[in-house]
Amino acid sequence: VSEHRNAPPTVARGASKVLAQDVLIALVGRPNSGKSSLFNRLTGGDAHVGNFPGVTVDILEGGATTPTGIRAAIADLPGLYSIEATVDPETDEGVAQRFLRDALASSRPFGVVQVIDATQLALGLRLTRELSRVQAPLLLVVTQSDVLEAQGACVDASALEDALGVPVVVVSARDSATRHRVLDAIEALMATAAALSIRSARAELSSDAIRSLAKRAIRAPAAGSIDARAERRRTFTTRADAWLLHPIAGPVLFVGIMAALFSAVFLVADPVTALLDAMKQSLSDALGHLLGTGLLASFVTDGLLGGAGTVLAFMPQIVVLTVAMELLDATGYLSRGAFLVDRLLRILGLSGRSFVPLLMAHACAIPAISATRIVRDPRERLTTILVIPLITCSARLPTYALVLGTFFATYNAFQKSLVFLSLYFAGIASALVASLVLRRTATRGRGLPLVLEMPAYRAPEPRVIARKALQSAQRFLRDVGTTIVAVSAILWVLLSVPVRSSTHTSIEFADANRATADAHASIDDTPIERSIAAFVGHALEPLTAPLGFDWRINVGLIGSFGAREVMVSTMGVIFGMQNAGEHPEPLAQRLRDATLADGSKAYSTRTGLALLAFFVLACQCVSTVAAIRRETNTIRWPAFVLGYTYALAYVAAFVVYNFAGFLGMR
Amino acid sequence: VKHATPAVSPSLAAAQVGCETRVRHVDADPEAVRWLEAVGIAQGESLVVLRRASFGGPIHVRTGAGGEFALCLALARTIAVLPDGCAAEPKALMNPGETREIDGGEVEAREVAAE
Repeated sequence: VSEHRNAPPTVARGASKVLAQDVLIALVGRPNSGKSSLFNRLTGGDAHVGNFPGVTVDILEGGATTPTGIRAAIADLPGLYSIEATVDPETDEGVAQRFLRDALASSRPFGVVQVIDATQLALGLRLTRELSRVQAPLLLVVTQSDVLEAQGACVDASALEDALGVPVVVVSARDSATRHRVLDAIEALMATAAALSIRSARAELSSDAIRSLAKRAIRAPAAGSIDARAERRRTFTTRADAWLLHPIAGPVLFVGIMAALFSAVFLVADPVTALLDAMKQSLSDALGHLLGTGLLASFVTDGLLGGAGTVLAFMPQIVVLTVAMELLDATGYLSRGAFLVDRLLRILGLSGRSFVPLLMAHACAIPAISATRIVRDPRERLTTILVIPLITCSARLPTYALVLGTFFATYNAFQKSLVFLSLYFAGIASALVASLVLRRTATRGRGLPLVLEMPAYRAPEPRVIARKALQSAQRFLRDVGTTIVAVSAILWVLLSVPVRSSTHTSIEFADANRATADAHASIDDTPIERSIAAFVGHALEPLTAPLGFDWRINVGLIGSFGAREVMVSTMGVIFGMQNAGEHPEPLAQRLRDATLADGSKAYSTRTGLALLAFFVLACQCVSTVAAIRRETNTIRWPAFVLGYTYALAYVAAFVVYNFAGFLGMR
Repeated sequence: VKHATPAVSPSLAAAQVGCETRVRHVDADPEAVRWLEAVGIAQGESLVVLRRASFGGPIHVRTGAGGEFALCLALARTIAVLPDGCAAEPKALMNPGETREIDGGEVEAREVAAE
């Protein structure tokens, strides 16, 4: 991380056709200033995450060529309010400040383009004042001119140029001519960059002068008409806020909108996931025919394709979630939601912005970890990422169902549902407690005071949102997908490669309806019993015996490190069951009947409770680990998550198992 | 963010909804003060409190430059404001030397020179 922070800006080669010697242009602007639209226009949507300083904030970069052939690398800096006051070096401001400092220190030609929303000129000009002090050529691009024109007004670029001493271009990011006009201006800017005397003409404006300039620079044909139209726009936002931020209606609408978002992510994504799964299965069958039934075929179909299938299963969710988040952000509602729930989350050391990721985590941790990008405070964001694995996600449900069906078979439906409900609350409670503890330990430090811009409601731009969705999909494939496939291959080796010849084990079944010999036969025929995982499972028995786990459960836990739901099918393989994932009831029966060498029952309700306690807390999901590595850009935090969740899981399972024994449960 | 030690001026946290006020000073660390200045909340700037979230949540303000922001209450307490444009809250009017509990903290009124 620190190397990145101190490294001069370099540019990833290849994919975006950006070269290290290209002129570097930094796009700077406040959030919601139209910067992303302009970036999209200039680069034609061809962008990638640049290799720039930064820990948790991606700086997108794309190439563009000016009319006379000058190549420029356009870097889209995160939306920010100031480059001088950073508050915290890990915030967007801190990242931008480092970027500018490093760019100025390098020998590469460098210029700054500030994007200002014409409808909020006075706000943007405060940042202009700070950028004027940067020793780099500065160009002002005033966007949203179409919105202003619709109001019967226009921007007086000359007035701005005269007052600020920097060139000004007035554009509409939706206009196709915008690209050429801005690239022309960039070319002119860089051509005169050698004569930096332009800086001497830059004026230092007071806050009053900025307000006065902002009024002067907007030309309205009829006196007062612009104010009237701006007021109407504000009135719409005011009216909408009266409902959306109402003390009673606001939270109700918020819950409704979040429920719709939550449903959309999974209702829209599920059919696509099913289609991708069917395609993967067809490919797997075809490869099975081609490669036969040996180890190689198993490795390709179960190991590699299995891992790829996991990646594909998450892709639709990631894309739909990104679209939903961008819609919320672009319309201006995201800030409103954070406003409504901020107080609640403050108790836990978090803020309103953490609500959406924490909510999403109940379905799946992977998109939830991506969604933490909306959290501005770096420590808060890290805390949210670290506690998300504790929230009960949907992948835990098959295992919970198996454990409940196996060890709580004699309990009635009401009691089972109570246990089920308590598992959900245990996930939420553990995440909340962990958040409180982490904010005082691992992620302690001054939190940023909440300052949320509440922008006027606005229609989102589909092109920008589509581009962001595509980028998030690419990023997921590259950074998370590769890790998932690699770990899937490793798990396949652990579970499938035999390390010793078949030996008889102590496994016996007391199922009166089955002959013991048949049971032995089915176990001996199972390669998993001779696998590395089985060897490790046996080796771990002294450690896990105090929890009531034997080698078979240990193997199940090893297998489910890839994904929690794999626990069911892994246990199915161990107990010689086919399709245990789809039909777990026979497996539950075998688990209930499993015995030790002395004929005593291998598992009891206590084992089930301990197993549930373990699954509530342990981060049994390689995809989550990979996503955390991606978002924190280090292996330190995923290792921390694995360490603390497994330690908690072990202690909780130990306490539950022994406390249940103390209460006389067998 | 340090907690406010406001003078006679009430803090923004105590300002009435709908009232236009003017920032008297911001009692936070220098970086936070500069950052707030960048978003348009600085000494001399006018602010209108639009609403407050329930249970001591953030307050929603409009700055003189036209931007709207939600500020957490802890931050709002560091922003001392002058009543401007409408009647001040009764509890905001204090005599120099008087102490009173405002927003969970004890506040002592001090004499402040007029601008």
